Amino acid sequence: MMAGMEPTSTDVIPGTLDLLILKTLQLDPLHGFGIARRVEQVSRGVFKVNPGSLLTALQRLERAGWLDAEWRQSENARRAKYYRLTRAGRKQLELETEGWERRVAAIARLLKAEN
Amino acid sequence: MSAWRQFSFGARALLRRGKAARDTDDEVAAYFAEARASGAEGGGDPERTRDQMRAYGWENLVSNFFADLRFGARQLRRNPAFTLTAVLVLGLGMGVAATLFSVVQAVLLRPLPYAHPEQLVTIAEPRGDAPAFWSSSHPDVLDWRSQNHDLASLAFYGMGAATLRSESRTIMVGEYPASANLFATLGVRLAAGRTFTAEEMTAHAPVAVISHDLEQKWFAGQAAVGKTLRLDGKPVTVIGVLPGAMRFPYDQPADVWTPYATPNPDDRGESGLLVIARLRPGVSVAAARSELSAIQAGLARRYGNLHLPERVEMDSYVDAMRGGARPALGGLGLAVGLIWLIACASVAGLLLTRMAGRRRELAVRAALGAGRGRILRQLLSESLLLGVLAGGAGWLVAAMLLGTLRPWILSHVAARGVPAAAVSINAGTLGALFAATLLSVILIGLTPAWTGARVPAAAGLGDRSSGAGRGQARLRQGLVAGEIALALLLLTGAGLLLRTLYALEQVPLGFSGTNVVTTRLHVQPDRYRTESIYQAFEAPLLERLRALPGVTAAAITSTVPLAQGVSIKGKFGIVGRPNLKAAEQPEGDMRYTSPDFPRVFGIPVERGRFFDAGLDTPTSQAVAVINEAMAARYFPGQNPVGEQITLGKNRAATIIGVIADVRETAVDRPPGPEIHFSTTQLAPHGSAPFYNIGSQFARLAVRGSGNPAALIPEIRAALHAVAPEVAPDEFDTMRQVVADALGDQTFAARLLGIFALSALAIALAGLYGLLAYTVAQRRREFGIRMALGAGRAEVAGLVFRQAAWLVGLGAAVGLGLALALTRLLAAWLYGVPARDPYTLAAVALLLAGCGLLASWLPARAAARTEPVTALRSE
Repeated sequence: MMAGMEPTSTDVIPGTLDLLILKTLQLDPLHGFGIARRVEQVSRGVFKVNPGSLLTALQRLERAGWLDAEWRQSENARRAKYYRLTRAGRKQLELETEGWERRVAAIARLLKAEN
Repeated sequence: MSAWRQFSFGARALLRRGKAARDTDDEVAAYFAEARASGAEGGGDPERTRDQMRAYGWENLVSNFFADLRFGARQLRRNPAFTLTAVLVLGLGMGVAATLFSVVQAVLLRPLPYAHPEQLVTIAEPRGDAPAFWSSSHPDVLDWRSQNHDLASLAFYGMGAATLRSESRTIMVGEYPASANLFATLGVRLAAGRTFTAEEMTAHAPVAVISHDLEQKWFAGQAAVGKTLRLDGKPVTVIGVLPGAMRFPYDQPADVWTPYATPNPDDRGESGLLVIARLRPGVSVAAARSELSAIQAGLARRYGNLHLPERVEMDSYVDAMRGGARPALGGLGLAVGLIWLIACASVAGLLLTRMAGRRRELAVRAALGAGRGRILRQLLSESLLLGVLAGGAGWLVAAMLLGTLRPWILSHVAARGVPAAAVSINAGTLGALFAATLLSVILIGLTPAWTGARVPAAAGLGDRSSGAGRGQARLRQGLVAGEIALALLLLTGAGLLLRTLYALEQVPLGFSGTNVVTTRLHVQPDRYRTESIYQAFEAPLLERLRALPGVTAAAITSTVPLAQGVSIKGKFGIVGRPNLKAAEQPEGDMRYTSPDFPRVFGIPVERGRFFDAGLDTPTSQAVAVINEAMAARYFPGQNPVGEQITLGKNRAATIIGVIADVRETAVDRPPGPEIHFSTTQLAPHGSAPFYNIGSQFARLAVRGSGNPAALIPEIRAALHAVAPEVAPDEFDTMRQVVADALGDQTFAARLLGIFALSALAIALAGLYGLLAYTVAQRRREFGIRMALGAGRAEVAGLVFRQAAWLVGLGAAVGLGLALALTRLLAAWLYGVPARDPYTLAAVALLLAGCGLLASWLPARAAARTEPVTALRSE
């Protein structure tokens, strides 16, 4: 809810951070940096995630009930907070994916209907 | 579900603040460690990230708020003089206002224990020959009930008295016969048992509903339902008990309600019913009044020979009950508002002063990067804290004030049927005042906070004087002058009421109440059917009383001066003068008195003689004694002794004497025409204008040679010996009766006095605060003046001059307000004009003196300025 007010600019399209996080966690649980790295890798460096925005978004999604969190040892033998998609989170992912696709299709139509 | 998670996560973070902070730290550290380990730079700064995370969640707002409060508390503690003054002033204003309002509400705005009291109306037939309110006849009432459409229900009742007897006790109770639907119409639910049915009413069943008080008094708190009462010798069964808060009608102590038994159920000429009805929802009094008047006009046409009134009188019961209180409410409401306003203005001045002093601090904080919103929030939480503290102080002040005043208030209002529990701090009032105070403190806090937060850093820091602008200074001075004006207004009101009280105490009452004690007696009406009540009861009683050591005179009278009692207004004619139409006939108060009446009350007999048991007997010529007011009105310039007056068709009485006027109904009301008849002539078939019945409303008055209260047990014993079945009511000394008659004025004057003095104190605190601040601000100036040769007296004079200017301005405005507004008080004033110049002058002098006193300390501080230190500081 506060993420939109962040003055720092990230390369993530505003309003899509939630979707990116949920999608990234679809396969397996990850910790904060793991999510950031995955987003960057998969988007081939197009999207860079600001850590402050990401960690705040994770707090928010956890409270919304879409993510569960658990402290675990990371691969580097550190204590890290791992986030996992809940059932509600999966539903939300579907919803947000649908919404996104609708918007993309609409924008695509607008761009094509050039006159 | 998500809202629950929001809440529980936040609450957990709030409760285990350390763990939450550690978790955040760990997560941020892990993030950047992983980033470093994977060779990326992480794309951010750990500190900023942590701050961003901590700003999330509602619990963060809460803990920020608490941090602000803690900071605010520190600020308030750092400046205890300001905090204490502000809290005290606001607390005093609020507490005093809440107390005043609670008292007003208990006494004047008594909450009625009925459902929707605004729907209740009283209905009466305005007949010429009886008090309007109990003049309806049974058949008329039944016709109203069956023909109207505007009333949800209509009930009627009568008023009377009866004797209750057991083996050991005899007491007098109010006995009120009522229709079966009375309690349903009022919407009163019984505390125990049931009310009587319509069938029981028709059958005159020996059942009764009794008051909570009587259950306590007579049955010692045991459940009364099912028990038997001996009411005027007849056994009746108690079937129900009313709730304790119930008072009806008005403040009458109605103890026993019995099924109404009309002596002549079909006689339209017989009046005596009181009627109360409930309007249907949405029907106005005016609409119902015109409908019932139309029905009554129809009855008057149909029974033309009876000369029935052609309309009805209908009034809202609540208005009738509180009617006299309305102007009082206006005046006291104004006083409440004024006190509160003065307190708020005083604190506004203090806050403005303080904010001006903090301009530099705010500028520094703004320069260090605090946002305007942050500064506003901080200042507001300070105001909030102040408001809450003031609220606590207000509650304390109200509780203490009411605790102190309570016994006095109760002694004043008990006679009006105000239950003790009603005289307590009204939680709603205190809550509303608290909310209003909080709001106003926040608003007051907002003004300087807003200008304070807007200070450009450079200006605020560079400002050497560290004082406020001209506009703010003027606003502060205006506030203080305003407080003084309002305080003067309140003081004037209190002064006028005190003068009224003094004037009333000086009114010659026309009688002497010293050493006199009185009580009401209830004589059973059917006991003296065959003999003279005077011979059988009164003469032996009076004789026995006169024989008591310490008793100098004793009398029976239907009315005691200034005491509440039955007054029978009657028309009369004068023999030898032309017959007048009923409406134009002279009218006077009729009463019964026994021969010693003038001696008991020390009333001089101006002409002729008073009654004599030997001369005035049931068989001798009926006689009357009139008062001077009557002589002056109806026999101007002639001797009324020997003239004859007529009552009704065949009854005449010879005037044998004139007695001096006495303040009869109220201290501030001159007496009207009065006619005394002699109890010695009362008999079942005597010559007097009235029969024995007159003595049902008897009062006993006994004059002693010492403290009359000491005689009460012996009077009781004498009464019991002569007539064990006659019950005396409570005994009152005449001193008490006179004090009660002045009760309203005493009450109002003392209340307003207390509040006016509080207002004065608050306004002076405001004046003092402003002067003290100004002196602190002008220290440098004073130092320079003294360095240049000004003396200490001159410097002190500067302060006094400012004080004089403020007090003068405030007093001028206050006098203007007083001249315009004191006429609102006119209804309570006696012997003093609303614009009494002496009161105004005295109040203005008091204010000037107190103003001088309040400026004394600041002036002394100014005079003690040491030029060297004053110039060196800053």
